[in-house]
Amino acid sequence: MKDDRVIVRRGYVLIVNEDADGNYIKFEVQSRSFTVRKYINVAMLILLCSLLHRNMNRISHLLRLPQEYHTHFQVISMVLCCLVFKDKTVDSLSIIKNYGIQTTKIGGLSILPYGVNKALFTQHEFIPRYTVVDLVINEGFFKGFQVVFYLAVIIRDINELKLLFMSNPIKLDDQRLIYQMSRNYLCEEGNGSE
Amino acid sequence: METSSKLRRSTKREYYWFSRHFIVTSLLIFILIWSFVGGYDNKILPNRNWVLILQCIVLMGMLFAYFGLIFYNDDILAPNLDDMRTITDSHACIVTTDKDDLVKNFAFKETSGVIDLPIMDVCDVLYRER
Repeated sequence: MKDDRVIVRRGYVLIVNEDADGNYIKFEVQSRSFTVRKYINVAMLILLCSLLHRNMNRISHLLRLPQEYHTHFQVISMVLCCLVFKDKTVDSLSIIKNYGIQTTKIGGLSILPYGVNKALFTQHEFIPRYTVVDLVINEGFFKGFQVVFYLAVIIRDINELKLLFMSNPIKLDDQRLIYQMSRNYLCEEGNGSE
Repeated sequence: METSSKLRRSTKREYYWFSRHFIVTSLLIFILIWSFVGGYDNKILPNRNWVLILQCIVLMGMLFAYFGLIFYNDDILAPNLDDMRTITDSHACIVTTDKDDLVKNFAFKETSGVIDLPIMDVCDVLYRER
C-alpha cells in the first residue's frame, strides 16, 4: 500500500489512499474542525446537563411534575440532550476496479469516541459497476441564491443522482482531482465514458 | 422593406399606447380630484383616506410580489441537486452518432438549431487530465 496523500484546505482535509497494485482508490473528506467541534459539543452537553440538574426544582414546579417522577424526567432529558449533539459527518468514496463504487458516511454522537461511532453509525452504500453510468461534476442551483459544483454518480434505471461529499462541500479543484483519479478505476481504457 | 414593416408595426401599436396613456392620465387626474374633493360631507366620492390606503396596498403588494417571486423561484421551482432534471429532461435533444437516425431527424427537417450535449462528454472535455 502506498502512503496516504493528504490535502489540507481551509475547511476540510482530503485523504487519498491509492492501492499500489491499482485495484482500488479511496477518498475521504473530513471537516478540519472535527475534533474541536467534538470537544465543544461535549462541553456544551455537560453545561446543559448541569443547568438541568441545578434547576430541577424550578422546572418540575413549572411542569407540575410529581415528586416520584423527578429522576425519570432527569434521566430522559439528559439522554435526549446526548442525542441532540452530533458529530460532523465523515464522507468517503472507494472505487474498486471492475466491482463498483462504495460510499461511506460516518456520523454519530459527540459523547461517544470516534471508534465507537465508526462501529455503530457507519452507513455503507455499494453501487455495482454495471449499474454505474458515469461519475460527473455537475453544476446546480442551491438554496440561498448560489450556484454550486458537486460530484454525482449517474446510476442506470434510477431517476435520481447519487451525490458525493455533500456533508462536507469540497472545492472544484479537488472535485476535478477526484474525477481525474477515479477515471482510471471506472473505465477500462482510462479515457472517455464507457 | 425593413423600415416599412417596422412602420406598420409601430402604427399598429399606436392605438395601444394612446389608450394606455389616456387611461393612466385620467386615473391620475381622478386620484388628484378624489384626494382634494373627497371628504366626510361629500356624498359623490368616498372618504379620501381610501386613496392613501389603496396606494399603500398596491405598493406593499408590489414589494411582496417581488420578494415572493424570488423566493418561490429559489425554493420551490428550482429542482433539488439530486434531481435528474439538473442533467436532462424529456425536452432534451441529444445528438446521436447513429447515421440513419441523424439523417431521419435532422437532414430534411427544420430544427431549432440547439442541441444538448451529454453531461459525461462535457465533463470529459472540461475536467480531464491534459
